[in-house]
Amino acid sequence: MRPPARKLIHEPLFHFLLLGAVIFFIAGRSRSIGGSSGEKIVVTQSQIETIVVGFSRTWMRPPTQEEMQGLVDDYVREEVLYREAKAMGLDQDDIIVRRRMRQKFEFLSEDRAARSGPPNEQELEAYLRQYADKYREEPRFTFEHIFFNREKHGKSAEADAKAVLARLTGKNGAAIDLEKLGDAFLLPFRFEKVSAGETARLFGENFGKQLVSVEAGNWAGPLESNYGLHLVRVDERAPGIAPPLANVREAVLRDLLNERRKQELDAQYAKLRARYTIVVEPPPAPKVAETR
Amino acid sequence: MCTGDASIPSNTKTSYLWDRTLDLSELKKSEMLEFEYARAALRNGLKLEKELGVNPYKFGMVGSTDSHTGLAAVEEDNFFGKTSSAEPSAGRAEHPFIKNPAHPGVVVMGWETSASGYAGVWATENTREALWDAMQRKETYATTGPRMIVRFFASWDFVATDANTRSPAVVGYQKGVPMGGDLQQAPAGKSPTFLVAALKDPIGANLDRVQIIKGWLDGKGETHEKIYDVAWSGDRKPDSKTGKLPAVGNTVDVPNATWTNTIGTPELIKVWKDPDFDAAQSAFYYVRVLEIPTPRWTAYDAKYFGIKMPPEVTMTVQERAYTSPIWYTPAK
Repeated sequence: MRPPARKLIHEPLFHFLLLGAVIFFIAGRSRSIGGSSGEKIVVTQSQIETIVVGFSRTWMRPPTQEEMQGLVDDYVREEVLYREAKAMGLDQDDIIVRRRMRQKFEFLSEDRAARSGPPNEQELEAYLRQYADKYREEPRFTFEHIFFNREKHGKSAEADAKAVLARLTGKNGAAIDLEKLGDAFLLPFRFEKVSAGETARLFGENFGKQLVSVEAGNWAGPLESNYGLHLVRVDERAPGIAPPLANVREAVLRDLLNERRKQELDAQYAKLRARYTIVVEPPPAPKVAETR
Repeated sequence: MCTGDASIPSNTKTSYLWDRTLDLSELKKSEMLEFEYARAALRNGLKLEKELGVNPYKFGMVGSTDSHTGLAAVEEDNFFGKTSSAEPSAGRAEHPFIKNPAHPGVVVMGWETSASGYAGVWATENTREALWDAMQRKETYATTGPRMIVRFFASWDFVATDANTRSPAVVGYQKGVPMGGDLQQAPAGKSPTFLVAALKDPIGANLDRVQIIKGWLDGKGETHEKIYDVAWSGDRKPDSKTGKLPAVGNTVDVPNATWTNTIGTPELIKVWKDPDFDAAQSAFYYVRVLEIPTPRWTAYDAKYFGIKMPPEVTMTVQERAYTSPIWYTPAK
């Protein structure tokens, strides 16, 4: 049995702590807290200008003398703490700093993408053709309907609707005053150029589906909606068309620019990545407790 | 007005259900209640008008969520809770929603929070200006979640057949004032008439009934209220003694959290005349539309998570809509 003091001298942890204390002592002497003393902080005129512009944008007026003093004092304070923090390495391994640096780097690449100028007409046309489905418009209907409330008509609802349909499609059908037909209804009786999606939202999906197959021009039905029965006359049906560039120019331009931006970022990344040798270690082995 | 929790479960035997002070320091006492509810405020408005010459409680109705989740998930079948700490989970119904450690007996349980609601606005077009104008003139209504369409007009001249026209709103605007408006100068011997219409949510439940709630100020300066059943589904008859309309029934299958639209009606339209009108008494009238009973979010939760709710938890609800009132003020 060695005495405790001698045992300590052979302890690796003791060596480690001793070494650490020495390094800490040397480092502490060479720099108080971290930043070197005697460094100069100059608040330049252009920095002051930036401060004034920032303030004015928020408050819609330039700062007063007193406010200006406060802003400059705060800037100096931030600068001092920033330098000290950086000297201590507080920016290392910080997820927010890393994310921000990545973002700033990508902004630079995006600027490069923007420098190539706006796309020309042919490029826009080509993009629209390539992604035609994305810009396709929904089918739209212009239709009129007559409502039959099932609760009012009971079992004869269908027959009543069909009887009205027979009159409407009969000889003097066109002369009949629609105002007097069917039941009161809180939604409009005529819909102008309403999209298939909107029709389904207002009347129920089932009604929207049936409406698609109604032949335009004549009264037809009855169609079942989520409210009851409807006779319908589709006056106009605009199929889901691929619009010309003029109608969707803004969206196409936005999407194309966005695509270019992404391509530029990817290309740049590919180039930079090629400079590195990347080693991904295998994931750590599962802990003992988890294996059976 | 905060209508965030305006959805009232159809099981109303515990009528004090929502009546606790906000900081949960005590159960509300009955003398507090006149300052807690929209209808009581409307009544107090009439009283104050007599005193002050102006009615400070002439407000319109809108529904909202009172949720702090940033989500508009207010249907019973997609209720995402009032706060991020009360998001869907098997235990959320039985977890206290708010409690005050100093008063352990006064708790709001998770299951007591309600999935609601929406603001309906009758605007001339879908622009900020038009929506704002509509809210300014109080042409608005509240629902507890369903997207019902509700119309309400008052006039001295509506006749029964006005409810049979194809577009009731046209005659409504021609002859009368819409929800949020005012009736004045009663023609001698005439009572106000009301055109009321409601259409169900296209993907929701059928309607049970439409009610008009009247509040008025009598000659002694006391306020009163009365609920009139105005239009209803089916051939139900009000009880000859009590005047009460029988319940619409209930198709809710609680274990499966479903219901059927085999009762109720998709639409209700009616012209109603105030049978008890006194031209010397100021009054307000607003509409309440009731849906047939449907599963409450607690029923959807029980089914989805496969859990059993405690017996006190309400599992069905009659969703509803409330319109802004129309006020009648006697000529001075």
